[in-house]
Amino acid sequence: MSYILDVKDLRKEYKGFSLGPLSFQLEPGYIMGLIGPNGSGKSTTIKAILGLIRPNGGSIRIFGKDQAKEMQAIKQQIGFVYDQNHFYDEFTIGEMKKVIAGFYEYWDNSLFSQYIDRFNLPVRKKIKEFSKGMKMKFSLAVALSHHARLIIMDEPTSGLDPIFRSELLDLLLEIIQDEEKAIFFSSHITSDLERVADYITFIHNGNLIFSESKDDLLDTYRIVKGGPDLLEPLQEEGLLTGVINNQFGFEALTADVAAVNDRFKGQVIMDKPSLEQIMVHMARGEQYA
Amino acid sequence: MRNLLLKDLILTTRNWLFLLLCTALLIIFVFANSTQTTFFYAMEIFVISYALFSSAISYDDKNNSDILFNSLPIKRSRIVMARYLSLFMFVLIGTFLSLLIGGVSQAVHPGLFQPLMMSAQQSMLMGAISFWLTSILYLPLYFKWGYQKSRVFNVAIFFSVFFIPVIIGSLERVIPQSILKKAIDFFRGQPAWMLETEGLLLVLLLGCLSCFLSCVIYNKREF
Repeated sequence: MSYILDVKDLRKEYKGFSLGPLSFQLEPGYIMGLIGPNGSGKSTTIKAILGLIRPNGGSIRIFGKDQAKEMQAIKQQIGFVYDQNHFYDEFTIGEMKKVIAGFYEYWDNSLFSQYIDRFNLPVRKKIKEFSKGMKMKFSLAVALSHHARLIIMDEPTSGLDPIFRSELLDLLLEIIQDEEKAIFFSSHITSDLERVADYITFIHNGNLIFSESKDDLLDTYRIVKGGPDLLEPLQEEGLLTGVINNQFGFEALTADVAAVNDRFKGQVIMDKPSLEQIMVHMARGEQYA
Repeated sequence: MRNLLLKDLILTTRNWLFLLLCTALLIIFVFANSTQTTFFYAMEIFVISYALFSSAISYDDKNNSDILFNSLPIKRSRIVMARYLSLFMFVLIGTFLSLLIGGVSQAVHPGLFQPLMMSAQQSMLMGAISFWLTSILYLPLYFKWGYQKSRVFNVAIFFSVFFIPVIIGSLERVIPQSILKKAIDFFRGQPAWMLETEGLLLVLLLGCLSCFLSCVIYNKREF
């Protein structure tokens, strides 16, 4: 299998926080969402992939190449979007493009102009006069104008209005249509990922909880709701994760739908979970594990 | 590297107002105190180059450019080298502006720069060497800690340029037979061209060492 992104046993140690070991893979033609609460290690993972920090262990292969050895060649084919604007506020789009374009062998001026037109970005205005959404659009235009095969985005939808968020998600789906590109993006807006992601990688407190296909996740897990008397037997059999008690009883996540059905059919309610519910219960389960 | 220099050049154009202000102040200074005209070019080049340099690194910091440039396909050593090359670019801009101002001042007030203790060319070289020395001393600290944490050193090194002659002068009076005085006498006895060459060689040597050190430091940094 040729992966666009292949992360194996990635580790990074900081004072008071350690990331990993993380392992996950992304194939061309797919979108992978990286989810996790604030401070879980999403940005650290992205920084390690882009070479902004040095991992303490593990390997990162991008386009089949060793990231540590062939970083410059790899970056020619990566487009990146950060949650904050890192372009020069004092520059206009044209000035910033002049600076950035020269770094890329395959920079496509006409493609860049197409995106600028499509996003209705004012060419003569300074970037500091742009709204958050416009800055994000400009970052996207830059990321997409050198025929990148892997787009890496750190919280691209945070702080954006629903209309542009929707446009952005449509654009992401459009990008992967040729099945040669892949998108890896972190977000804690799980509804966005639910809409576009094919795979979900969930990290919590620096640990990998899962990296699976979104459809499998939504098919595997169920939200279980029941009265307080059922909690103990269910917990004794190890069928629940991330129990939340409320005035009517409990709510938890289960991965063993068949076992819960066999033992407690008619006594509990089982619903399909949202990605957010999976994340919340998993994080809670991890916290009290 | 060309793109990084282009970025600095574009940033320079954002500082025209500041440069005009610097220039106006220097002109007032020169006209008010014509005995100091010898150092006009030295001061002009030093102040303009330093202002452009400080402004460029503060813009870089403000826009968190380390993250941007380290995400682009460029080696970290190239980012460091571009910053060192920009020091030459700033001096070129400073020289151009000081020649322009010097020319205009002399046209308005002929003989303003006479008699000179040194030629205009020597004065310019003095300004350029002073700027290069202060910047190459500072840059390894900048690459180690970034602009915010290192700027106190930047200011200290900048002001040391004005205070070093005073310190050396007072040392000379206090210890007339010192090694320091012998060294000063030794340099005083040398022809101007030799001093200029020595100054440039010193800048080149220290510049290479500083650049090497900055590359090692910056390669280890994490963002």
